[in-house]
Amino acid sequence: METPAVATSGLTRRFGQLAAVQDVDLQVAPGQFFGFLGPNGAGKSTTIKMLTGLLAPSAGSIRILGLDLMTHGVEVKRQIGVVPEGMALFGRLTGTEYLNFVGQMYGLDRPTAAKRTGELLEFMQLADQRKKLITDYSHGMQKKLALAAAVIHGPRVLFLDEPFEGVDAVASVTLKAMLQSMIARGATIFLTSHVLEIVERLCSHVAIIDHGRLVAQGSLDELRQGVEARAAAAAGDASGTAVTAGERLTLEQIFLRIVGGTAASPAAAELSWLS
Amino acid sequence: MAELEPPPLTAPRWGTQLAAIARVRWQLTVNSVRTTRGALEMVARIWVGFWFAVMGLAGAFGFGVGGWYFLGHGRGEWIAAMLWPLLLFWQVFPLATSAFAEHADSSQFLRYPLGYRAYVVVRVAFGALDAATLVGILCLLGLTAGCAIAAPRLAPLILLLAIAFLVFNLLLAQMIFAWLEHWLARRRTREILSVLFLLLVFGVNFLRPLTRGAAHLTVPAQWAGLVAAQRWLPPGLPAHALAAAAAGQAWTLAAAVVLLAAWVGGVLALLSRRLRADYRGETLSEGVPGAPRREKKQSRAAAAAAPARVWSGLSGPVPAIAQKELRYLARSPMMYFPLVMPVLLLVFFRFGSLNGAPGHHAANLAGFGFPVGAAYALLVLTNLIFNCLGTDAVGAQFYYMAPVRFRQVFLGKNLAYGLLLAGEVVVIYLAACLLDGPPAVWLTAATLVGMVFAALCNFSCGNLLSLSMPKKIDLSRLGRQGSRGVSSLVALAIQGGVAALAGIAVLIAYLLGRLWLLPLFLAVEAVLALVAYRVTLGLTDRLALSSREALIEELSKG
Repeated sequence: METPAVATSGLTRRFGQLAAVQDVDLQVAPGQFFGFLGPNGAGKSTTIKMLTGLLAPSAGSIRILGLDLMTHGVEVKRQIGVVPEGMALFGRLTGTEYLNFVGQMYGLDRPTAAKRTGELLEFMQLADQRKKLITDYSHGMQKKLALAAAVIHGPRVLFLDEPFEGVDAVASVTLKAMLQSMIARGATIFLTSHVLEIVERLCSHVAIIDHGRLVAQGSLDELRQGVEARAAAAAGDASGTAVTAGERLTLEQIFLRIVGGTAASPAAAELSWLS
Repeated sequence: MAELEPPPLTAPRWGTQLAAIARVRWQLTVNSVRTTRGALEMVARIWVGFWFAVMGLAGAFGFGVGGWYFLGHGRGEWIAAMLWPLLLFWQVFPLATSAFAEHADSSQFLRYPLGYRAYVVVRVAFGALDAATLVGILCLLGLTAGCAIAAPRLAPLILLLAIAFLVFNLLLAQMIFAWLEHWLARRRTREILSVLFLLLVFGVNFLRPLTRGAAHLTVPAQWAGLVAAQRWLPPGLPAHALAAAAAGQAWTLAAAVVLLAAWVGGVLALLSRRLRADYRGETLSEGVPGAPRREKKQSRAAAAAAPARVWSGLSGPVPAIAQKELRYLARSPMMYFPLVMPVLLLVFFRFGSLNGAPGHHAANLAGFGFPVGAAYALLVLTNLIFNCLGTDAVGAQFYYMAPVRFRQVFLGKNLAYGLLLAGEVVVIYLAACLLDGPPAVWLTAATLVGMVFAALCNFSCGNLLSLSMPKKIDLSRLGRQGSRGVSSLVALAIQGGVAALAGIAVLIAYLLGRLWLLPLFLAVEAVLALVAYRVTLGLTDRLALSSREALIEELSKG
């Protein structure tokens, strides 16, 4: 059996009395484009922080490419790339300086880091901005730079927390193409995003977390079949997204059915003062 | 959906806004003591504040006695002799300690519909929350009381002049900070400043013969013009006004008061010019060049790829971190003035000793300019050494995601600070040589070895403290870094310990009557410090893991 790229067992994180993530068992096969979804506060960021070593789990284990993250932290980190929620950039370096720095931190020699830096800046259309301090970059430019930094060492597993947030449509196409080419070369991508259309288009497999617990995991078709089977078994449909014969559920519909949300909140109607 | 009604929009009153800001500051202060760390910070701030208050009260007593004596004995003009040092302290102390400053950032309120007047008030009020203002206000209170006792009929005038001088100082300090931030944010200005710094160091050499010659002149002939001119400057004007009032010279009094008001207005206008730009949303940025630069012919990719030559032979995390750290510091306005201060200290020593008779203790101190300046240089760097992840802010997360151990991170940072310190020590040595001639060989050797010992001790403690008490630092700002009370006190205690250990070596050498052995004793301490450094460096990996959540949370604060 092939070693999973990412595997967690009983992964739990408690903050005092609150269990932000509880007993999460994830399996991500190598080469998968994996979407990790959940409503706000469901535990997505907490999970991704634990998977990338930013947060210690309260219980459970994490294995990346077969290595235990707790005991082989440095070896694991050498093989992964991360775009975290806050991007973790060094604002007072220029784009060039930052990518050179990151490359060396991941063990690239200076000439290689410099060569890849130039190529990545060109690819991300940031070459014009190479002398500008990162703090002066727009949000979208920072996002592109963070992604460039995450891939400069050629990671085998890439963790992306909302990578397309604030990125313009043109850059978004470029980034998607790059990510798909990485998948084609055998890399694994673990992605969280609130834009379900993007996840649906890119990801072959999806997991959904709600209230800290993993409530669904599998390929899109498996999730769809599960929801349809449940809908068929249920007498009524309270979510307002009934399945009709021949209809193919979108990921948004699947997601809403699984986490129990509805398309529109009745509370919005009460905010009469909102113009 | 119910019918939409337009929201009741009214222009917010600036008084209401100021009250809200004051309230939120108070709530933040109250809420900050909910955590143990916050409570410790509060205790530390009260402790530090207490000592500054003691210093201010001592000053108030001195100013009170001085004011009473001068005004009571018909020498009102001499009050200027107290106001000039006060002005210098008020303006120079915050600059010299800008790397340690504890001001809140008022620009965060600009996201709200805050009127310009309210913004100015908030900015000045926030800026006034510092030790120099506390000491200054207490000294002025003492002066007012002393003068009022000496001449009760002038009490309202004395109060008015004291308030005007207070307002002038508050505005001037803010103006200096605002303009320096603006200028230092530009690379060209920093380069000019660096050249000026070097010119200052070498220029001092040419001052020496001039001042030697001047020392033979009689004071009245030399200073008479200056004394007359200073009467029309802000510290001289209150004294001049009081002397005129005591002598019944109404026109002179009126002219002095009007001129003082004009000075206040002038400084306010200069401050306002800068704050208006802030208010409009101008940001400090390297990316605001004067004119677009011509692209060089080489390809962009190649240009982007070119690594800095000086580091070209070094690869790996440690040199990468050291290089990154030095780049950060080179772009930091807050580092420039503290780094200049040790050399200025030497200059002050030198001029202080010029007027001293042979055997005068100021003259004796001047021979120790090199060790004193070097020690001060290390003291200036302790703010960074003891909070070395603070400048990385949210970027510190990267060290947890990258395949590096924290011992490598700290080694890189310590290497950068060590290089910076070495450079500063060389400059101080040159300045000491130019001012006083080369220090004795044993003293030079003892200073250098002592610096190695002290630096290693500071790095050992600083690395651990950086992990346990991190605080975000905004390098683009002079001051306004938020409170670091506990770590400042801990740092102070550590400096005391280091000084005591070095003192033991000095004492032994002194008791043996062989001061030339001092470098040897300090070398033994330096070796022990190196062992301690290696041990503490090893501890950082474990401590970094155990404190990562608190550290990331603290450094990611907006």
